[in-house]
Amino acid sequence: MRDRSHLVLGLGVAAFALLLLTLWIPLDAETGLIERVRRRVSIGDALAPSIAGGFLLLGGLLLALAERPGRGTPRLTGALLGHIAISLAIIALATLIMRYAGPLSVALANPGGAEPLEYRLLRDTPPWKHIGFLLGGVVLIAGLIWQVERHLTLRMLLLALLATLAMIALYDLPFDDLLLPPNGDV
Amino acid sequence: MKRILRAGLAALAMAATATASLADWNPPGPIKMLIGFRAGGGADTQARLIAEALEDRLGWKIIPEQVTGKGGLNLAAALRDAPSDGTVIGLAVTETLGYNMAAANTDMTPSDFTGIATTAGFQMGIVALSTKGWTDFNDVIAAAKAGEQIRFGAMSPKLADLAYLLGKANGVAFNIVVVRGGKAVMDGVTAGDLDLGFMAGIQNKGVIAGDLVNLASALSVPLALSPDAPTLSDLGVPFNADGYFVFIAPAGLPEEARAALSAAIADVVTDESTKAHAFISRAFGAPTVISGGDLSQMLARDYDGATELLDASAE
Repeated sequence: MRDRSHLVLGLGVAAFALLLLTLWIPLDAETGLIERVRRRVSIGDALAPSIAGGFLLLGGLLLALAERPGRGTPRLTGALLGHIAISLAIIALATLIMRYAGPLSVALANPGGAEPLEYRLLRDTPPWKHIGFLLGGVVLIAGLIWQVERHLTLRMLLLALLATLAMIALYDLPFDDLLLPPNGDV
Repeated sequence: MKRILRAGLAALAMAATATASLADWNPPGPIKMLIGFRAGGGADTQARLIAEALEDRLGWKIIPEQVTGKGGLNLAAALRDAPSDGTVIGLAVTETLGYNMAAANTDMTPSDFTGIATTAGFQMGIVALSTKGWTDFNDVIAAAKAGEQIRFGAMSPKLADLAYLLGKANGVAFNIVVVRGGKAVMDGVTAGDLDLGFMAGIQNKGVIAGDLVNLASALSVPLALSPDAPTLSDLGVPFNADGYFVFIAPAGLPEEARAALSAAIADVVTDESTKAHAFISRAFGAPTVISGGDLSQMLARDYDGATELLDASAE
């Protein structure tokens, strides 16, 4: 069977670019490609993403129509796609845990409590500010190790924990005004 | 878990009582301070020095964050939807809530915000190199009438409108060049790429040294440093570039929070022992604190007045 991976990938990218150009940018950008403000023409919000979308479309079409797999090019197999899907699922799960573990912990620790307490107000207070980053970080690192090794030992989990703690030590401890994810956005 | 939570609450309560003598209100959590100016510039330095002093004096935790672009409107949009409990404030200029908001295609108005306090006004002048030989703005008009092409630098659409009206009122047309920030105008004038331009206090050192000259005051009053330079109204333009740095919060900020934030900021910028005071005095002339009802009225007046300027310069 002829390898159609270039065609599939190229058409996929082109479809995404079309979606970007026809739906996402018009819905999300406030001004057009160029903006006329007070006798002056300036660059609008939509110009840079539209150019990027144009290049994506061109690249996708080139890949789909002009590119042919050479000798030794890996085929796009179900196993490879599965690998990408599992990686993305691990990253998505870790991101969700990172974002919501802290708020959930506050809600559980203070069920219908006397004082209305929000995670937002504790986002710079230990240990609350570390819960999401720590759990999400451990799940991300341990998950990716598991994906590669196909098994998980206590040693690997400890390694994930140590790596996450090292990142906290590196970014959180020395900088007073720096917030670990997700605390800048809550 | 509950013990840890109680410990956290106790720590917050202790911080609150320790500063109760300084203010009746304390933020329920860390304060996010949005800064509508690029990191490292004069306005950013001012905001961070004020934040540092508030932390030292009151034990509040302040986390600065840059939200730049669109003449402060990006900051305003981010601030409008933020919680209105004193935990999110922003530093912008009054022009953001005035001209920029009126001119933009946005549904925001000053009533979406609570004014907390101004920190400093601008000594906005129209400035040229003294080697040009101009002593005041009338010399510029004469040069333009003699056929010289005048390149006029401005750092905002409002100032570009004022430059346009200045030309129109005096029967000349300037080549108006809009650049990013007062520093860019100064660089352009110094390098000879611009013949003159608006500067909001950055020119003071050069004027004192005799390298630069304030040709006109863009304010409603004469400049402190060059009281003889004509104002815009002297030159036939019934508008001005009066403006201030201003801390704002979303609409609906409780009065006790507004009063406490306003008093705390005023204390910091007017206290001569603070780094913030020293910096503001050096960079912007002197601190100017306007707050409460006076500030609300000024913001509403600027917004309404902006429409008149927009109409006049659209003709």
